[in-house]
Amino acid sequence: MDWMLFRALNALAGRWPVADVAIRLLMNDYLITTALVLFLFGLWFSGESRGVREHNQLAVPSAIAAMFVGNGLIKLLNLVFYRPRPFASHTVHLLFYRPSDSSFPSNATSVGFSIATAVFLFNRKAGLAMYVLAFLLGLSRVCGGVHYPSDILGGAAAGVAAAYLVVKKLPFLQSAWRAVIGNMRRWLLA
Amino acid sequence: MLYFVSTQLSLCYLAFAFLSALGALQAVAARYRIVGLAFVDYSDHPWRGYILGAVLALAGGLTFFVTQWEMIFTPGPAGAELTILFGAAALAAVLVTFLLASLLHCGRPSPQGAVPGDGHSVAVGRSKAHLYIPSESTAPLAAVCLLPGCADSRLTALANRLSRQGLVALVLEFDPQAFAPPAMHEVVPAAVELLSKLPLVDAQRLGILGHDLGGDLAIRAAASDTRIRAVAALAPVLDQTAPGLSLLQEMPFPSALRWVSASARTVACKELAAREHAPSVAPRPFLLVYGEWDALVSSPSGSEHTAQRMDIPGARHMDLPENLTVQQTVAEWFKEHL
Repeated sequence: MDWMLFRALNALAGRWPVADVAIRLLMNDYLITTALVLFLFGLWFSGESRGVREHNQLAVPSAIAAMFVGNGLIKLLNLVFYRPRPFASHTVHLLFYRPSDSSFPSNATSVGFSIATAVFLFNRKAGLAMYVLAFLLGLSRVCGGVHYPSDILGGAAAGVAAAYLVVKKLPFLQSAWRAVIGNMRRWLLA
Repeated sequence: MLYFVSTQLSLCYLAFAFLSALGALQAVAARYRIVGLAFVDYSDHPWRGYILGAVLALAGGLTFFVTQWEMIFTPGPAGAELTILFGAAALAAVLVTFLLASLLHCGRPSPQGAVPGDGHSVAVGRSKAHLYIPSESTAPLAAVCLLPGCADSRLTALANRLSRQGLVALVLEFDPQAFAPPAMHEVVPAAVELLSKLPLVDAQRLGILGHDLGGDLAIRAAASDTRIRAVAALAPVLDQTAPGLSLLQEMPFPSALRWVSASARTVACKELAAREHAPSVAPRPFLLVYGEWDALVSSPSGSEHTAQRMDIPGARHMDLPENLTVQQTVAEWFKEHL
């Protein structure tokens, strides 16, 4: 199933030059990740009232912490589990360089979903927009031949779990963010 | 140890992140009407901010992806390096935005310039003031004393409007020494004294209006001075809270920094304790006016005061006295109650 889905999606690569450019634009390390962080940056200044703004601001450090926690989870998992990339054992249409780390779970997808989930828990609209970006990042990486679909699912699960842990299960972090935001408010930075 | 792989790639990414962050700030400034971040006045045309934001982000994206297309698909800087590059670019974008928005804001014509002040200068105790006398009405006339709350309170246009409605208006100039405790308690009695001694003024028909902390002063003075027959407060502070970024919705960053560092405001607000004294204004007519977009003060709940409440759509804290709806409402209200 995983392999079949991979083949179907990877078959989109190498057919049309325009589609290849689009996939490469989406799957690289810079465009979507920068867009996600830019979203966070804009969110810091957003909100009609002080209360709404503080709510949005709480999402920003939560998303950054979730990103690091997700990254840590994946690093731990990769200590005990290694899955070769699709191009290492199959003939694929590869639109990217050949990463040497474990294919499962997708670290980039984990970053996307951890940020999107943390934001979603504070601001549904912004979170949904970020989920779309995170999904496109994962999908394009399968199309581009560097991940299996299950790698993307694993990365998304790690990201969602990390964000849920940070936002819902570690309340002391929220208190710490509030204190930081309160101090920054004095200097007109929050 | 940090390893950026390629200096050229890193610098181009820095430019991309910087321009995109600048663009994001313009879009946010337009969406939330943040004067302190806006390169252009977006209040009437927010789409300008969205377009400028998109153009900046697009320029950044093109610079990076077109020039570095091949490099992007080779192993590049890792997440930590990219985070540092983005952080530096975002910080630079914030600083440049604060600076540029402030410079461009200073270059815009002040709304005050459209309404020249034509009052006669008079001295009220230790303060300076300007007296606006109607040209066509016959004595005795009702009079209103107008109190600024800060250096940016612009009350000239409102005074002109009151005088066109046949009311004498006395506008006090903001003086940090005179408007600080304990001297501030002498300001209103001196002004009322001056107005009541003018031959063309009916001493039984005196009103008072204050903007910002001037509103607090007006409430406090009216609570103990029964010569004042009607009180209007435009966005009185009542409770001093740290406004944070909200202040940038009213003014550029350097002005906002000066605003928050002025501890005299906090002291004056506490000393005036206008919220506690407001009930003493009753049963005299009492008007409270707040702007819908006022980011500096929060309006009290309706049941708290006996005052008549007005919320002016689309008005900010600083612009409130120059808002045409406010001017018309206040002039008619004083005409009716004095």
